[in-house]
This record gives sequence, structure tokens and C-alpha cells, in this order.
Amino acid sequence: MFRCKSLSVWKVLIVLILSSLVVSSSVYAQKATVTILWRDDPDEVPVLDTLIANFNKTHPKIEVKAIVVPYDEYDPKLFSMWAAGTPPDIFWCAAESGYVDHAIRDMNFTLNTFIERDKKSINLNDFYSAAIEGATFRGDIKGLPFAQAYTAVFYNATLFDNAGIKYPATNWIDKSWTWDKMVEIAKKLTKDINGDGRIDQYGLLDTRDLFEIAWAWGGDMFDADVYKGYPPKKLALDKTKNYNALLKALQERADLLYKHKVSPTPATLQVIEQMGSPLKTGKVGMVISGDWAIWGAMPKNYKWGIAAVPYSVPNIKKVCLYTDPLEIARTSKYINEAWEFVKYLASPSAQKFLIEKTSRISSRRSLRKDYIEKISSFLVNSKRELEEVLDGAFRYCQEDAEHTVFGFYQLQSVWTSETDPLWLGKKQPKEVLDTLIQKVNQTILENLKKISK
Amino acid sequence: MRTNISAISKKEERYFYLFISPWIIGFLIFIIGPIIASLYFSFCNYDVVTPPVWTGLQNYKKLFSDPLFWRALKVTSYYSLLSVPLGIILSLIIAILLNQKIRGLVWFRTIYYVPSVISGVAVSLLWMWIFNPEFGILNFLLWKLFRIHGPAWLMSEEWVIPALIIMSFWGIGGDIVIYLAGLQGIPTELYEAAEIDGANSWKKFINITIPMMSPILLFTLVMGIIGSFQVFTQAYVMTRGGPHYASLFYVLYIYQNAFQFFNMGYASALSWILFIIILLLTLLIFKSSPLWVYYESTRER
Repeated sequence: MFRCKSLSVWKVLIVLILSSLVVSSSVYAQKATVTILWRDDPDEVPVLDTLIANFNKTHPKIEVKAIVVPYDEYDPKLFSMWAAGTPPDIFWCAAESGYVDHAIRDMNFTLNTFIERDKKSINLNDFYSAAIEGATFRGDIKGLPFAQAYTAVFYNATLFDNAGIKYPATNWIDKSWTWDKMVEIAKKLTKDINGDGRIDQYGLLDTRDLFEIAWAWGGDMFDADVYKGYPPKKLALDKTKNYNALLKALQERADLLYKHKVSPTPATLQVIEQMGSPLKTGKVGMVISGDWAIWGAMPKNYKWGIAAVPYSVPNIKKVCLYTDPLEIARTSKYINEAWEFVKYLASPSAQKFLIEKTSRISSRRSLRKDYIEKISSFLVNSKRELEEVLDGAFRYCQEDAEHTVFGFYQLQSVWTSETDPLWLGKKQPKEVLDTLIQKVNQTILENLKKISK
Repeated sequence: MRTNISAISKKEERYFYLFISPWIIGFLIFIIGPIIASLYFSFCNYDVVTPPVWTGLQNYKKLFSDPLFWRALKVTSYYSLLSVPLGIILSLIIAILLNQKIRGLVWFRTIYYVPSVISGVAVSLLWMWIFNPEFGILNFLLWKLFRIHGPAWLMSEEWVIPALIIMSFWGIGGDIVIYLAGLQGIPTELYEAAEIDGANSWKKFINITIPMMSPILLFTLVMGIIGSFQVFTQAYVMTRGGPHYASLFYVLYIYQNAFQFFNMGYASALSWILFIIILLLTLLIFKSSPLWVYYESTRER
């Protein structure tokens, strides 16, 4: 009796397992399932979902599925899926690792032949050249841009009106729009409104990273070939020009906090950031950052504007461009199908939808007018001024070092820690810079040892 | 008849293994497997994506010349050395107070336990507000009550660890419950006998409460030390190891190496060193326990 029962249990189990295998394999046999790894961004995910649904409707043989993970888990998920031998077919530099980190590990498929084959439908010339450069590794195109961001000055026009100050220049070659002038304006915008001895409204928040301010002051932290995908051998700060530029930049940034007192200290910034994106809180007059400062809904109780980044030193301008190229896993089973979807996401129609839903810019030049149309609805600038700002932002730019420099995140975490004492007002720029160079170079050496093996 | 029984018991044994197999398989695959794998990786150069390359003892050699390894070890030991004993003393005091016969005791016990229910990221975010040097309630109270300008707490290299130690007292409710159970298990006749002998409260505490509680203290000490060497969430959420490495806890450093810098081999070596440190500390405490832990059951022997 007992024996009989147990046998039947086993039988049922085996039949169930086998039948489910048969059913599932027969369902999937007809379709190529393409997975795309995405980060859990509340603006991006609904757009992606809609685009996937549209694509799946028109491509009966392909089924695209999104795997959405929190930002912090994006890289661990990507790398562990690789380790498990089941990489997502499509991924991008959504978190800390850049496409160069992926390319050096031979993770991404080279798209040159695909792009050549489909050049008519893609129209590579329509993309900003900086954006394509920002997806190129030692001459090979490793991704097709899907998302794009640029650097500019974003400001709270209401605070300018209240202080009776003219809005900053939109023309990038306006010689009168200098760093010193910006600091002057920032001083006027910095206010203790309720008179309790505490500043309630800050003039300026400069969120640029060290390599960006080095660019702005006419120097560079890395040699030129490092941005093309060749691993750094050391920081380029042994060159006097670069060293002096970064030293000056650090001094100027520290002065914003402790001399001019126009920028929030780390402690205050922490509070402001907990209230939301700093510009949107109304606590900051001007922000130098990527255009994420104006992503999503802008509070209606203020007017907003956008301007050119000022000259820190005469005749030199260089800001960061942030391109997000979609990469296809080299080991993907469905490279052709994945390419179809990547092409679709970079297509004018999908890009237009992205602009409409998120007020983000596209890497396609032809869609600039759509973007301007979209953002002019909530900015004080005229369309001509917006055209001017974007013109400069894409002319005086270079792709984000986080995407183009091998092992960038680890280097950045070293210099972020090393500059803490400077932003806390505990150490002087020179002292900080000298140890920083030594520590970052040490890390670079360690990383070199790893890839040489 | 006899063979029948043994057949049934054999069958039952098989069923035992069948039913426990999910756990055994899970334990082998998800616990033992990774442990062995991490031992292997600790001798390799491994970035997760490309296959591991055997490098012998290199990761362990690097570890001893890595200033951040020593920094992380120092930060963690400092935290552990202060937070564990202070936590034990504080929760024992509160447990003794909660063991008094007063009105509304149930409410007090609930109130002291409630914070332990909330944990992890939520508590970290809450304390970030409390510790904010300019707008936080802690510095506000220090100024209003004592006219003291509070330190920068999480933004200060000197104060970040003391701040996190203060925060760790948030979770002492769990220990309080264990101590309360222990206190209630002490026979009242011991106290009565001591009172007849003329012992005062302090003497009763030292000569009865502490010895009777010592097995429980041993347990919480061991768990506390293991827990304090594994601090991660607070540092990850609140300080990211800063400012200037001042809160670079050991496990945070492992995490950074494993999942942010993709030095999985080095992270594995770090993990094995942590395992050895915790093992040695635990052994040391257990070895020393006959000197200070009192077990009633061993008294007759």
C-alpha cells in the first residue's frame, strides 16, 4: 500500500517536470528571447516598457525582456550574469563600469559591420560626433547611443529676478562670462533669508568631478590615449601645466565653500540632497552639472533657465558629455535579434518618444528641435538661446571619463576619499593633491598588474 | 514482524533524507560551494568576467602592504572594542531596570524593544538626519541643553565612529530581552539568602546576578563581536566609508573590492582573513570562559 502510494507520487512528479519542460521549450522554440539589463530609474523604466511592448508587437519572432535592477546592483548583476554564462544580450554603462571596462574584458560585440550594413536606416552622421566617439574603443564602435546628457549651467530664474540680476550668458564664446563673474553673481544670490545667521539660499553648486575641473582650468588628469581605451599608466599630473590647472581648480572650489561661502558645505549639501535634486529645492541659485538637473517635473513655483559654462581661464572651454551607448554581449546567442532592438531604441521614433516622456536630449542632431520644443515649455530662455547653449555644449565637450577610462570608478573612489579633507576645510589643496597623485598612481599600478596577467 | 519494523524505519529514514534534501542541497550549493570557491579565488586574479588566473599567495602578500586593509582593520576593531562592551553594559542596566516590580512595566519593555524591530537602511537614513551637524536634532539638543557646539559627527574623521557606536545602541532591544529572560531565571532564594547574610544591592549584583548571568553574557559577547566585525549597512548607506576612510569598515572594503572594483580574488582573500580573525577571537573567548563563566550544572562536579 505504502509502496504503491510513494511510487505514484514519484510518477506524478516526474510527469509534471517533464511536461513543463516540454511545454516551456515548445513555447520558446519559436521566439528568440532577447534580454536587456536596465537600472531601476522611475523615469526610464516606463519608457523602456512601452518601447519594448511596441517592438515586440512588430517583431513576432523576437521577444525582448527587460531585467530591471537597482542602480547599485547593476554592475554586480551584469558581471555575475557573465560569470554564470548567461549574460544579458543588451547592456550599457548604466552604473559605474564604462564600456571601456567592458571592452577590455572582451564583453561587448563590435558593431562596425552591422553599422556598415544598415548605414541607411541608422544614418550615423545624424548622431553628434562626440557621442559616437564616446562609444568607440580603439577605433571600433562598441555601442549605439540610446541616452545622452550634456553639461551646462542650470539656474533658478526666480532667484535672479528677486536679486535683480541679469540672466547669465547662453553664448559659450562670450568673453565676459567668466568664472570670477559667476562667483560675483553667486555672492549676490547667497542669502540668509530669515536672519538667523544661517545661509538659506546658496549661489552656486559646482558638481563637476576632478577631471572635469582640471579640463575647465586648462589641464588634464590623463594623457590623450587613455580616453581612447588604453589603460592609464599614471596620472598626467606630473606635467606642470596639468598639475597647476588642477591645483588652481581645487583652490577655486574650496574657496566657494570657505572663502566666498557661496556653496553649501558637505553637511548642508547632504540635507539639501535629502530634500531632492539641489536645484529643484530652490535652495541653490546656479548648478553646473549634467542636464539631469532639469530631468523630470520641474517645480512650478520657480522659473528656470539654462546658460553656458563660463570661462575659468581665457580661451579654454571643455566640458563633459555623457553618452550611454547600448552594447551587445559578444557571447549572446541572439546577436542579430539584439541588434534589431538596439537599432530600434536608437531610431528617431523611439528617441522622439524618449524626449517627449522624459525631457531628455537625444544623441541625434535631427531631434534637437524636438528637444528644444520640449524644454522651452518650462525654461525662461528663447529657442535661439537654447540652440546656442546646446551648440556649445556639444562643441566644447569630451566624453565622460567614467565611460572611457579603464578602471575609472576605482580611481575616482580614491580621489573622492582623498579630497574629503579639502571639502571639509581641514587641509590645503596642495597637500591634498600631492597625496592624491601618489595614491591614485599606486592604484593604477595595481590595476595594470592585473590586466597584464 | 521485526523485519517489518526495520523496513519501515529504513523507509522513514529515506523519507527523512528526501524531505530534508532541499535544505541539504541548498546548504551544499549555496553555502559550502561558495566557501570553497572563495578559498580558490583568494589565490587567483579574478575579475568575475574573465576566468580566474592562479597567482598563488599574491593576494595575501598584497594585503599586508595595503594601507587600506590596515585602515579597515583598525576602524573595525575600534568600533568593536567600544560598541560591544558598551552595548552589553547598557542593555544589562536597562534589563535590570525593566526587571523591577513597577507599574506599566509591560509598556516600558515594549518601548525599549520597539526600535529593534526597525533595522537596516531605514534606521541608517533616520540617523543621518539625527547626526546632521547643522540641522540634526542631536546638535540642536546639545546646544539648547548644554550650550555645546556639537561635532560634525558623520562628516568628521574623529567623530564618525563614535557616532556609529551611539547609533548601534538603537538595536540593543534584542539583548535586553535575552537578559530579561536570564534575570527572571535567577532563583529568588539566592537573593533572599544573601539578604539574610546582610548583603547590600551592589554585593547581590556582583555575587549573584553577574555569575548567574555569565553564560548569557558569554553568548551576547560572542554574537556581539561577530556582529561588530560584520558591520556593513550603516557605513554603506551613511558614509560610504568616509570621510577620508574614517569609517571604512572591513566588510565594506570587501564589498568595494568584490562588487565595485571587481577584484574578486582580493576580496576573497580579505574574507578569509576576516574569517580567521573572527574564529580566533571566538576561540579566545571560549578558552577564557572557564575563568569567568559560571555554569550551575558544573558546580556539583
